[in-house]
Parts: sequence; structure tokens; C-alpha cells
Amino acid sequence: MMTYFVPIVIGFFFALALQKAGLGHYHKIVNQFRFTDNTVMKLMMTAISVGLICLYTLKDLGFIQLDQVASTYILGNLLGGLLFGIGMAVAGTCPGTLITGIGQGNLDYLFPGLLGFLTGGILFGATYQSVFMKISTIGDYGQKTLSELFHVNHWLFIGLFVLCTGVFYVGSKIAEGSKESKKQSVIRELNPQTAK
Amino acid sequence: MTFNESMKSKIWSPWVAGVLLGLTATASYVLVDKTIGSSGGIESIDSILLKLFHSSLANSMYFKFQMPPVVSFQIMLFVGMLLGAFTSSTWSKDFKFRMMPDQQWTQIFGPSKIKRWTMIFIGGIIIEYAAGIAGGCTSGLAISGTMQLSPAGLIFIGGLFVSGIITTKLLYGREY
Repeated sequence: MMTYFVPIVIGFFFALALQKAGLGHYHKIVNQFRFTDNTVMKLMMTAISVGLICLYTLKDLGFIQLDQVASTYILGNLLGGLLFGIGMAVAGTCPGTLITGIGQGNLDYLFPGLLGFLTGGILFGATYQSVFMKISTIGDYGQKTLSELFHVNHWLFIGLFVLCTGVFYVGSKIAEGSKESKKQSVIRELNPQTAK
Repeated sequence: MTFNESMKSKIWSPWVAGVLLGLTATASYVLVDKTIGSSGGIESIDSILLKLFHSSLANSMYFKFQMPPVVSFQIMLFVGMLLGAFTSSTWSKDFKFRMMPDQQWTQIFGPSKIKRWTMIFIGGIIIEYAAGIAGGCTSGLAISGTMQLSPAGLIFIGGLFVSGIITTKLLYGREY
């Protein structure tokens, strides 16, 4: 019961958040790379900040152990990221938003999209020993966190990240506000009678 | 705003959606000691399909031991995701069968459906292969990794932004 019910509920809210942010749509993803729409960055930074605070609070209180830390192997993480960005710009989606897009009725995501992802997965599995196992040994630090590697208290990094998110929040509010007032003044100049 | 009103709205503030996403990712960790991720579910489906069609690849090290052909946590996550995206989009009337993206795509690349379908297919191959090499995708590594202070998440985010920006610039040309 737990094994089926919990992931379904978690997945439900996960995709609900992505769908409500508009990320099931092509333009929302690609426009992040043009910086004409910063939804992806805003969403990711907030999610990470909330996650950091919640996880490390629970860890410090002794409720959980952080035993699922993603492995760091510098070359693979970097090469994978570089390749991933190319695909994301070409397709306008990523694995999570692909499923979200399918759920909102995008047939290009369901047919060629899913088929492409499945093909890529088979290619990865087929070359697992010849490619992945070689790459993943280069710059390999294992399941270490930043605070373990630098021997600094984790709240320093968390504080830094949350601060960046806060600065980004304030910065984008100011930028959006000035864009809005510029638009208003243009409207006023164009039709002085109609605008209040 | 009432619950019904906010569910009816097509777009939430990304900050609000981000808080929900962060809480969801935390809940997953606390309840079942698993991080949310999506690229692994695709590999699980691959593994099941390979076994179903008696492919010799089903006996490879990866599909036998790393990604065994079972209905994994991440496949169940997909079931929930489909329900979540469907509920969200039908409630806000954003649900629609689309052959290709609603806007922007046709202005840049023209009306050809074949072009869109080819590009998402090729992009999909690249993305899933890359997620394998990197050790996760946007949700599984960038978000779930970084929220545990794994350097891998930050390296991955850096890489994907650099190449994403360059690729979009190349694809869009003067329209960038």
C-alpha cells in the first residue's frame, strides 16, 4: 500500500507544481535560455531553498539521515549537464516536464518525445560499461556534500543559497516593476486621452 | 483567493509553485527515503520493455542489475505525475490535445509538424542519454541533488545552462 500510494501522491503534487508553473509548455523552457522568462530559475531556486531548509532542519533534529546524496564525479556531471542543455534547448522539455506535458495533452511529447527518451535510455544502458563506467571514475568524490568536502558548517552554504534566491527574488521584482511602469508610460504617451 | 480559484488559474507565481515543489521533494525524502526524479523511470520502462521483447540487452549488466525490470518507485511516480498534470490542466482548462506547441514554435520554425516531431525525438534521445551520464535530470539531480548540498547538482546546472543558452542562440539566430 505504502509502496504504491506514496509515490502516486508525491508524483501528483510534483507534476501539479510543474504544470501550474507552465512548464508543460515548450516556450516556458526555451525562453529561460533567452532570459525572456525566468520561470525555470525562479521555480528551481525556490524549490531548492525550501528543500535545503526543510531537509537540514530535519537532519539536525535527528528525524532523517541524508543517505541519498547524489554522487559527484566531476567530468560526468559536467559532460552530462552540457549534453543535457543541448537536448533541452532542442526539445523544449526535460524528463519531468515531458511527463507533465503528456498529462496536459501534448501529443508531440507522448509519441516522438517519449519514443526519443526511451531510445536514449536504451543507448545509455547499452553503453553503460564502455562509456559510463569509465567517465564516472574521473574526479570521483562519491556521495559527499559541499559541507563535508570543505569542512564548513552546512548552514553557511544553505544561508548563501537562500540569500542568492532572496536577491534574485528582489531583483526580478524590481526589474518586472520597471518594465511594467515603462509599458504604462508608453501607453500614456501614445494615447494621452484614454490613459488615466 | 479560494482553493477553487487558484486551481482554475492557468499560471501560478513560480515562487509559489517552487515552494510546493520543495515541500513535495522533502516529503518524498521523509516518507519513503527516496528523492524525486524522472529520468530513472524512463530507464525502468526500458528495462521492462526489453525483457518483454526478449532482447539480449535485457541480460546486460545495466538492465539486469542497475535498472532491473520492475515497477519501480519512479514508475509509480509517473502515474501520480500524469494524474497531477491532468488534474491541474483540466481544472484550469489548459488541457488540450496538441500536435505541437501552442505559440512561439511556429513563429521561429514554421508550421511543419514533422520538424517539431523530429526535433523532440532527437532532443529526447540526447536528454535521456545525458541524464544517464550526469547521474540524474533537472528534478533528480539539479533539484534533489542540490537540496542536499551535493556539488554534482550545481555542476550539472552550470553545464546545462551554458549549453542551453548556446544551443538556443544557434537555433534562433537573429530571433534570439
